[in-house]
Amino acid sequence: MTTAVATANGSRDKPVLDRDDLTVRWLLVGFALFFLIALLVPLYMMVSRSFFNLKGDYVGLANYHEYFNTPALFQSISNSFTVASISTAIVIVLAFLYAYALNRTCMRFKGFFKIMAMVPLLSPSLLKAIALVYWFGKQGVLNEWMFGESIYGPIGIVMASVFWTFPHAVLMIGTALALTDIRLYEAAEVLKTRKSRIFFTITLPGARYGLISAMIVVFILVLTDFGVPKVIGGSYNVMATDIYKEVIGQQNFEMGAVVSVILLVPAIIAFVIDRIVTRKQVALLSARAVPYAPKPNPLLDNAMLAYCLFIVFLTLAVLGMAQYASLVKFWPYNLTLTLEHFNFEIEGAGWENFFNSLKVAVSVSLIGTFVIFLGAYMVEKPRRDGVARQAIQMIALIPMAVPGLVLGLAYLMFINHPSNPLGFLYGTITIIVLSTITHFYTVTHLTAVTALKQMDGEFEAVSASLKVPLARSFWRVTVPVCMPAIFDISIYLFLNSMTTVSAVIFLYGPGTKVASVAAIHLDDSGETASAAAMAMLIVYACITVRVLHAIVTGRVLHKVQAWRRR
Amino acid sequence: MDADTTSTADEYLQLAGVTKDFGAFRALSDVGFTISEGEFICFLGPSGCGKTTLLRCIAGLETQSQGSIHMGGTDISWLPPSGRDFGIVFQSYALFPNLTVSDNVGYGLVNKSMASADIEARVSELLQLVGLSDHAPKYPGQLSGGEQQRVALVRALATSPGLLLLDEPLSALDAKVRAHLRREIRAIQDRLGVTTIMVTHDQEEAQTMADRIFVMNDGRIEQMGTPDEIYDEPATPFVADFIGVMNFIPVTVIDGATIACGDLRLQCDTNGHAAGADVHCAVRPEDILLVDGVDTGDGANTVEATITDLEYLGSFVRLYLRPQSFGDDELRVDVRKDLARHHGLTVDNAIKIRIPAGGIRLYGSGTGA
Repeated sequence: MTTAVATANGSRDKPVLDRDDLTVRWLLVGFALFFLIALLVPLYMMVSRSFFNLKGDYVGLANYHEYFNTPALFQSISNSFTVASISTAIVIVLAFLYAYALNRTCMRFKGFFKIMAMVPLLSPSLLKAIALVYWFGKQGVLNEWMFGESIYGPIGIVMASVFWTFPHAVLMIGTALALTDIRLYEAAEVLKTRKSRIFFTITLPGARYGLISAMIVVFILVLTDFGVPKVIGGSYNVMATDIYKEVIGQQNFEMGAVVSVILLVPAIIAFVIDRIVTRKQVALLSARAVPYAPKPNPLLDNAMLAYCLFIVFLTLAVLGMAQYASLVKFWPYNLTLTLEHFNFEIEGAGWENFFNSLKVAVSVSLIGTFVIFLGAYMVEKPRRDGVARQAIQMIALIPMAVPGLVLGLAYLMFINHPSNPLGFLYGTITIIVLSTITHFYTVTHLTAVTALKQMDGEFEAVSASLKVPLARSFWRVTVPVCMPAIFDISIYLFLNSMTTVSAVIFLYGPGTKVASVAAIHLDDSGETASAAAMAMLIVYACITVRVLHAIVTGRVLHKVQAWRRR
Repeated sequence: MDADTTSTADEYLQLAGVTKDFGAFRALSDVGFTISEGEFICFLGPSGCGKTTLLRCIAGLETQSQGSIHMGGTDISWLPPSGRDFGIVFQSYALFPNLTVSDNVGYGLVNKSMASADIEARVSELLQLVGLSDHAPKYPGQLSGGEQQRVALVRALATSPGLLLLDEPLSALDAKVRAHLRREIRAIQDRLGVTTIMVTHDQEEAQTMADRIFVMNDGRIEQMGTPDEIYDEPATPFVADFIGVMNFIPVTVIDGATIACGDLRLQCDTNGHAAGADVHCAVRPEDILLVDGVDTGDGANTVEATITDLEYLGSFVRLYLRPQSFGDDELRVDVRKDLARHHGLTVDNAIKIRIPAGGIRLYGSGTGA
């Protein structure tokens, strides 16, 4: 009888786990293994390598000593910080104005400008650098605007960096400006406060956390970027290019590891500050806030319209020049249009690079979205194993603090280690996909967590009480309700996988080189027009997929989100 | 069959020594009680008293640190929620937003491998029970709060659980809807006879709905009893203060039938408190009478007082009095509106009141409200 069984179990003093609890536990073990292989062990190997010499003897801080006594390397630190600081200052001002226009004015064509601000996300950062060379280089259209200065160097790095980080800053500042309570402004107006005082006492303080976050993110993006300084940096060395030179040029992995660790430090500090700031931002706005609705102000609205048009014009000028450059026969002597640069009849480059990119991006997008969403669900929803789930949450935040180039180098050392049973993965698409998922894990993980947090916390309890398995509720309720976030994650992963250079430049093998890396190599060997053509292929793919994605998203959401319509 | 596994209708749910610690914080300490089949129980207490934790332990959503829980004679102390027999309704409704009303109600039935025609019949029967048949194809977001909570209720009842758990089900609703739904939930419970536990911080809700109320404070059950018992014979000062409104006056016991408050002597049952003991005298505002031409009493327990403030509370008026010879304590007295009008009561009036001996209860000091 059941009662007899119950009595036998009566002395038991541990909770009985049901099938869902066990499933969750196995999945947590799976995620722990994933992070061990995809993040923690490679990072550990990279950091420890910086304490060994070429022969593999432990040398303590000798490599660091050598680094700081080599002026050529040491100088890069200040170079990196200089271009990152200047770029950040410029981007923040430009992006703040743009985001202000989008969120706080009655400017016309907001939808158009919102889309256009994101155009730079559709191309790799190196494309902006190439375009700038065509505009301002020695044989550039507007070379005289440089007043004798060279575009190769800090000026070029800053300009290109401003272009490619602009959308990131607009997104972050825009979110901060959107999150405000109109009642603050009404209260200020009732107290007869001047407009300028309202701006400095309400608008700016309200957006300060978003501004700080955007500054930190842009700073780190520029500091750790590889594509731009590689193409347009000239003889101006920065830390990211140093890592590449040490590893690829001199096969000095130890010194590469040292530079990586040094680059990791500011990234981690910035990341910690960003986390603290972000947490405060969430607490800033109460759930009862009334959203801001701007009032028409013809003078301001039209000024902002002119400004945004100007920014869009610059964006298109960069993209347009890259397109033009890829079609011109022999710049600047023969300007007839041709498709021959798209033939890539050069050693080590070809259309297969582009198809590799597509393969990687599609895999990352499909596998990554599933893994990341499931991971966020594991962190957020189950009832038991709180400590393990919290640990996974902490680890999931680490990739954001690891520059792509550093992650790539860590993977290279990990996969090349003679005793690694996974060594057969070297140079495969698999390892590229794994590193790319890891590289972009944090942002997408946080998107998924945010979406899951918005769901009622008792769904799982209700399911358990109704004896419905967790997996069923996951597919029937959680996934459909979170569909918008899932689509956002998938396109984010796709676009970033297409355009990233940093993590994959160390990892490709024969036959698995991706388009963004091929563009770097083409540019390196002087085939700038072909490099532009390769970068443009990425742009075409990104635009196409973006549009298709929008159509599919619209259709699917219309179907599964019918309940959102009243 | 062992004697201790035999369940009778009187011992449907049995808790013994249930304790729950969250780190250093003890949310529940040594909770034990027995609930009969078909009873409607309310856990009543202020926020943070442990009532929701207790409900979640019974559901298996939390695991108690110590103690045992038996249901229908079976030890369920360590079973996961899926291994227990209950339905649950939350304050937030927790309706699946992307499923229609009928899919929500049928959510637990699909899993029971019922024929779809049977499910359909059961769902429409349940929706009829709460008068929502017309809303079956709608999504939860298209329903009012009260309607959503009704759907949540029948979703929990769909699988005919032995125990219905309600976690502050009415707290998110408007006052009118709340009053209506109280009666409706109680009527459904009466009809189905399902044993029910409801958590609430609203004493009026508990008093109108429950067969028995368990008043909780600080992780303990302070008193278990019918609504009348809880109101008329509060076992502790906490219960006296939490349920309804209560005046507490520090007094000294003089002898077996007299207490002193300053110069004033009051007659009452001192209920075994020793002479000379400092205790608190508790008396409800509505038990205090206005002394006028009609009610003079025998002159005992009358107090002269000045009105310092008045509150109009619908059918009655609450007077804030400063009694002479009472020290600084303020006394609240409820007077019927027509009486207050008849006497033309306003601030600064001097009036005479009587505190009937039967309305006075004494509580030991140190535990005062």
